[in-house]
Amino acid sequence: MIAWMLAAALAAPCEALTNVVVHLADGPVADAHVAWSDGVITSVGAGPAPAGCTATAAPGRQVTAGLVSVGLQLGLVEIELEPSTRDDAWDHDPVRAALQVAWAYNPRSAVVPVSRMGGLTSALVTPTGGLVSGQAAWVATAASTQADAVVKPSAAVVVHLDGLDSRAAAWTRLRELIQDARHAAASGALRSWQGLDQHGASRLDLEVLARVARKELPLLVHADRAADLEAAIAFAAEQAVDVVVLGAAEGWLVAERLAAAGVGVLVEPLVHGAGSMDQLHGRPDNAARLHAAGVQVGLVHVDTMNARALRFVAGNAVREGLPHAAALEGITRVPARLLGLEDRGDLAVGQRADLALWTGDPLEIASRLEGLWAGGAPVSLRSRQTDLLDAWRTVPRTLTP
Amino acid sequence: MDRAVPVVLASLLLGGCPKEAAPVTSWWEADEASRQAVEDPPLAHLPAPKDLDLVGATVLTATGARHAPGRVLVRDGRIAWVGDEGEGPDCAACEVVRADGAWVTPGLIDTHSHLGVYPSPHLRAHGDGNEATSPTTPGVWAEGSVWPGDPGFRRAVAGGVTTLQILPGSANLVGGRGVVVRPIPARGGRAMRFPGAPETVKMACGENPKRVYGDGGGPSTRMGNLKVMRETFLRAQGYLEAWAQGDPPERDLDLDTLAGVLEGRFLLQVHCYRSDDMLSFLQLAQEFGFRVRGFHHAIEAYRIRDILAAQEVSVSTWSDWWGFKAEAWDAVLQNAALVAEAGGRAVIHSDDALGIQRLNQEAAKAWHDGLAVGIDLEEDEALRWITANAAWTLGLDDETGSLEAGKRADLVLWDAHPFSVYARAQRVWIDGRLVYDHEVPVAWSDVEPVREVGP
Repeated sequence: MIAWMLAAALAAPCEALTNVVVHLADGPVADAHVAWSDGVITSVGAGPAPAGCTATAAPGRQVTAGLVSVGLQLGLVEIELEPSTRDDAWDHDPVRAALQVAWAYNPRSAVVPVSRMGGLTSALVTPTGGLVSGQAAWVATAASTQADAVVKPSAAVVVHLDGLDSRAAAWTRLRELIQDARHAAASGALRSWQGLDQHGASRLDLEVLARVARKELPLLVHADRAADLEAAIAFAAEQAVDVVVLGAAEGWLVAERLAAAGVGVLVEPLVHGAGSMDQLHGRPDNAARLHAAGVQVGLVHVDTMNARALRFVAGNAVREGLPHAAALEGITRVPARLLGLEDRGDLAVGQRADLALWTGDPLEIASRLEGLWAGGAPVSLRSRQTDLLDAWRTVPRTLTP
Repeated sequence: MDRAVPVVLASLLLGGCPKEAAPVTSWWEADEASRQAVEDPPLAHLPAPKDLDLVGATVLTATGARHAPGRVLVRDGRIAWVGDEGEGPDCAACEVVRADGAWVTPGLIDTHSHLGVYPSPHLRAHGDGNEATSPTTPGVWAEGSVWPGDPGFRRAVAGGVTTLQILPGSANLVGGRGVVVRPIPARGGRAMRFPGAPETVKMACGENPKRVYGDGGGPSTRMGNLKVMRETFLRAQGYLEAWAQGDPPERDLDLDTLAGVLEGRFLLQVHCYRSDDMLSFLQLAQEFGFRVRGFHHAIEAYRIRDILAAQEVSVSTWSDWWGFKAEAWDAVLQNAALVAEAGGRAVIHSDDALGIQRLNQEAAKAWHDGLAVGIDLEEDEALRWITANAAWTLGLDDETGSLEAGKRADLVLWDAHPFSVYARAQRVWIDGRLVYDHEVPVAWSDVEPVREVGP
């Protein structure tokens, strides 16, 4: 009895938002609440918050999970055209599976708070260049240390099919790498370090690629052309590896095959024209068609500096026929789950309380982000840009404090 | 304001001999003769202009007036009357278009595009936007690089765009002449030109020219940029003096373009990000007595918005792009709103093959970002950022950019408020010609056959 009373007294307080619309996996629920305790969602759904929660009523407001963005160089690149501020690549070798961008992630980047202005709480930051570019990392946008920010330093191995002279060369080399990694693991060479020089990559690369061969890590393949998507599906089956596709501009052409193979895609809804020869057959309703075919569709806005625009990108996909709930899923739960982030991205009991509070439809331009919580703690929506605005609200700037 | 009678006649096209031209006494006549050596190609392949009675929609005019429900009358390719439904003159011959619940705006205008000169699909062979062989190439004309097969033109008009300025890139301090076009199907760039649009000239300051030429003879610094610009205008002054002395110099295509800037005949469009770069450029303009019509990109315009407003220089910028280079680092989301609040002319431009497809959304973002911090601008003001103010920047404000009697019938019919992310242009008219109908997909570009264009 005493132990129980002690536990109750020490239990973390419960907080809640009430009188809100909550966006759940299958759609919005009005007059609802979301409650959390100790950083984790404890209750969500219609009606008032459970008794004992400190409730904040926010009538007319809407709550989503914090947004999840994939494919950014957030925290890796400060100014795109300034090489001294870039930490996203390694031109040493087209194969650098061992490269972990997590080690370069800068939680104090000025770009990160700007992304939070758009409701982003999680990002998969990815290496660039080469054939096997390195390992992507899940980061939390609200954190002041690397240790707090890096949620998962190794979430996927990024592949760029243009990293060698031809696509044919790229698939050949990938096949060699996976087979060699599998062999090096099975033969004991990775443990003994003996005979490693007979394999097609460095020891560290082979170790990481062996994890891919064991399906512990997916390959995140940048590809737009339908033929490349077919090849990716075939490669995943042949080599028994998991593949997730980033791009998929022509995905609608092979939607049924992607669905049958269980290959998820992360598409850029705004890339729907013949921007490149790989996108000749792009169309505005690509995401909608992929979704209708049963493909898991995440939505991305691969623009590190302007990652905040993700919700508008999703709104454009809705305009072109993607159901609203699927669009919201596409910028929260789907990308998280496709790439192994399990404890966030969904407004559901047991998930981390990463919450975004909007003044209206989260995908609509007139709606504003009014509040953001990460692990239940409020997150500042200020940034270098809001500071600049305050400094220059009148001109010329004066020395008056 | 349609193109004047050509100096040299169209007989060239018909296989005849050109008539003897009168002796040229100014660079300007020579330049006109070059540009108007042939007549504008006919537009017979487009739907004929129709007289329209557009009724029932909410009409946003970009003049300050809003009519809900409203009525727009179109006759002979021009707007004949705008007002409330149930008012105005009869038009028995008009085709009546009922548009209850829909929205009508002026055709959108993009002051900064590289469609056609950096067309889709992106290919090395298609890189026709930067004549990056010298830091000053005033004599090149973007018109000569415009590939009408760019599928971006159809996608732009599907986003409600009826006029766009295609500019050379910003590698060069003086990039050359821009061209103002209509996004219409055509077999050559010339056929797309906005009839009678003033010539425009592209210049660039800051990082790009010094990055491109820094390792190749310069300039390599901002002071170097200014020195080369100053030298260039000094040469142009000498050229004009030579013409004025009655002893025509050998014609110089580079100096023709600069003479147009010095004499104020051509409208100067300057790529410039940093506020101090813009001030340096305005100083140069003052020294040589020319005007800057508009700064483009102008990420830091908010810092000198009082000066830009006072000098009547328009500011074409983005809603939220930033950070891709050092001179784009100090962005605020309220750049356009602050310029407007200070009494300046703000414009939202695209500079992008995708952005031009949703200028309405970009203007809406910039407007709402202003509202959110108490910059209480009217909806009509934000609409002007992609219509009337853009038209002024191109010297076309008497012709397009707002819904007023007498202007060209450039109209967009939207299925929702154009500042909604869900709004779609249903129909688009240019000069009263129906050039886009969402219900009737038509391919323009052989890059995108119709079966792939989709709904």
